[in-house]
Amino acid sequence: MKISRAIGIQTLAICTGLLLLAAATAFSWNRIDSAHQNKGKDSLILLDFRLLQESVKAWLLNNDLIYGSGQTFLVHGTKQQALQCIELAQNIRQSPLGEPFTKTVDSILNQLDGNQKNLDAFQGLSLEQNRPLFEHSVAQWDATSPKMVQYLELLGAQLKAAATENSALIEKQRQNFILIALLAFLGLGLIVFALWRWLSHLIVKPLRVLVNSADFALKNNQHFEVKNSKIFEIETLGKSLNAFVLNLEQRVQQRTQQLEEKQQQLLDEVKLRKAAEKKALKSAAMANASNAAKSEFLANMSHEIRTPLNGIIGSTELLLNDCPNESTVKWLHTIQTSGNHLLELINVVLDFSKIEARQLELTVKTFSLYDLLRNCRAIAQTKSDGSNLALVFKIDPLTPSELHGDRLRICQILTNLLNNAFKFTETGTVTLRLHHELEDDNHINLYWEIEDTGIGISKDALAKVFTPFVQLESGTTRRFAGTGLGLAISQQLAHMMGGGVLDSKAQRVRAVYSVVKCGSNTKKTRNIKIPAYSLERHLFYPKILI
Amino acid sequence: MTLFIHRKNYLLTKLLFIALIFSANSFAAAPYCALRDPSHQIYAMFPSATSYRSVVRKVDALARQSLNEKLPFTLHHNELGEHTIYVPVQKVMPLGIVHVRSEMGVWGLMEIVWALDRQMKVVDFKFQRCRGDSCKTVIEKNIKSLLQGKGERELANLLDENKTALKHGLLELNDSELYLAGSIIKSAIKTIAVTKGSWPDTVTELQSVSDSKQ
Repeated sequence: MKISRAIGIQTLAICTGLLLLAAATAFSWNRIDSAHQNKGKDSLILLDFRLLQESVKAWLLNNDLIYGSGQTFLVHGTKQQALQCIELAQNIRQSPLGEPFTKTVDSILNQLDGNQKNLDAFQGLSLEQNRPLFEHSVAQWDATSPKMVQYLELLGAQLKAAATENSALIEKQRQNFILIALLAFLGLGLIVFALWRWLSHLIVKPLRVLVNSADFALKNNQHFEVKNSKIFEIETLGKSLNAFVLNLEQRVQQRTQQLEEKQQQLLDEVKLRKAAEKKALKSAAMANASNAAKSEFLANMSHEIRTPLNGIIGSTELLLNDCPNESTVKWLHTIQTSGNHLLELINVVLDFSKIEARQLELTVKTFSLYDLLRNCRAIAQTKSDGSNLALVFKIDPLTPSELHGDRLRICQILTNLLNNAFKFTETGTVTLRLHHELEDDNHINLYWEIEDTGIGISKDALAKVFTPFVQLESGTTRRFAGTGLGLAISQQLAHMMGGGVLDSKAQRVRAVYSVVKCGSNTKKTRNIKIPAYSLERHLFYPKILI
Repeated sequence: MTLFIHRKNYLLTKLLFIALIFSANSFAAAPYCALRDPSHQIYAMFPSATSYRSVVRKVDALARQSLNEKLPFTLHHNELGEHTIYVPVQKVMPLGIVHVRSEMGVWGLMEIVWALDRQMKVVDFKFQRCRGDSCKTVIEKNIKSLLQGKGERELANLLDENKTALKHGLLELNDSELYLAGSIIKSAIKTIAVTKGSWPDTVTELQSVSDSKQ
């Protein structure tokens, strides 16, 4: 059976029962009420009877007056009253309450009719001429009118008794009806309850079993199977659930198998990775060792190279001081220049090698900011002499003048950056800015910004500028001489001081920013940061020539 | 609604009829008296009577007015006109008076034959016309013994405050019967009063006989 059909049957049964009960109740109540109105104490017929009594009294009085006074011209008036009484009596005769007393009512009607006819006979007659007849009529009136009153009183008593009896009967019927109605409603309630139980048994119980089975299976991790049900929907649901569970179990098995396979694959891969990692670590260790050996070799070799080179340069200077001929001077200048350049290259390589070999250590001392700036300017001016470039320093006047840090290395970083700026700028300005930031009461960060108006650098190339031995373009390499180590060293030094290069948002940057953090009033080594190249900041600062 | 119309028609008819009666009485003298000769009742109520004599008098408006001053109720116009009283005699000695009067009853007019002694006190009464079971009932419940020997004042004391019915508690009667008893008493009072007012010589004669007897 379908749930909808079961619910439909229940609803139909309840509605039909209610409707039938309501109709029966209304019909029966109406019948009782109608009976009460027609036959009971409140029946209108009793009122009609009272009216009849009063009418008859008036009629009798008037007839008595006529018979007493002989004023026969008044007969017409009593006739109207008699007709009124007859109409009322007939109403009573036809009513449900008066119906059993037809004989009594008929007797009253006969008396009314007969007496009135007797009196009617005298209308318009002379009393003097008909006195014996009138006296006879009076005698007859006296004989019959009491009988009519007797009948009327009898009718009154009968009607009253009947109404009382009927009222009692109706009241009993009403009580019985209320009892029956209550019993009927109770019966309907029981039927509804039985239907509810049936529906509950039919629908709710299988559902509960289904839910409990599912709960049990879920809690105990067991196989779940729905048994057959009498209800179509529940049976369908059970079948679907069974199929779903079966499918789910198959899929779980399948997935479990896949997972096992994957796990095995992963285990194999992990083994391979571990082997590769071991190999890589071994290679890295070897590479590091090799690199360290290379750096150590380079450091040693640079030192070994620098010693004879200093001898060559020194000897060349001595020869130049002896004032040889012009041709020899020219060759000696060439030797001196080449030697200096070579020395410079070797120094750079030596520094980088030291840094790589972690042999470079910062020498932290108290120094004057303005001495540092003066040195930097002197070094930078040697590069800018004879060019069309202007060197502009812009220093925050609130920066503390006495600082604690490695002055030489800071100067080296700045010189590298300034040299780089001069190298790639043909005309315009190279600007160095300095501002500071208090980290706490004992520490201060210095932010160096070096900006030029040169050819600039693309954002993509920016990441490469700090890679050792790398120069941006082969063409560039040819046009601008260099080892490609200057910025790499600067960055390494800045890192050693806790600084670094910051990012830039510009497509082409034309400035290098350094940030140098130096401790003030402490003996601690402070960091140097080399921030990103930025074009925007160039626009904000006024140019100040120092 | 039907009931209301019935009642309305009935009231209209009644009012019309009463108006006709009053108008008829105002310009026409009553040509006929239906109060019948109570010859049987005379001998029944005065068993020692050997004969009786009739005394006819006219009860007029003057008598009515004098009665109005004495009684808490009045005579109806229909009760005016020529009336007869009967004096039963034992040989030549008057025994009392027999006076027939009509009075409004429960069912129409009732006719009561009153027997009064020489002191104008009630000796007995009989219904010449009375309709309804109440007439029999009040007799059965001894109204006669309540009235016997009572004069005007004593009789008036038997009436209730409205002077329409017998006082409660004197006899075991229902409302309808109390009203009938009240009508009987009123009839007795009227009878005595009318007799005294309209037949003063007869009353005087009877009283003198009574005084001489004492």
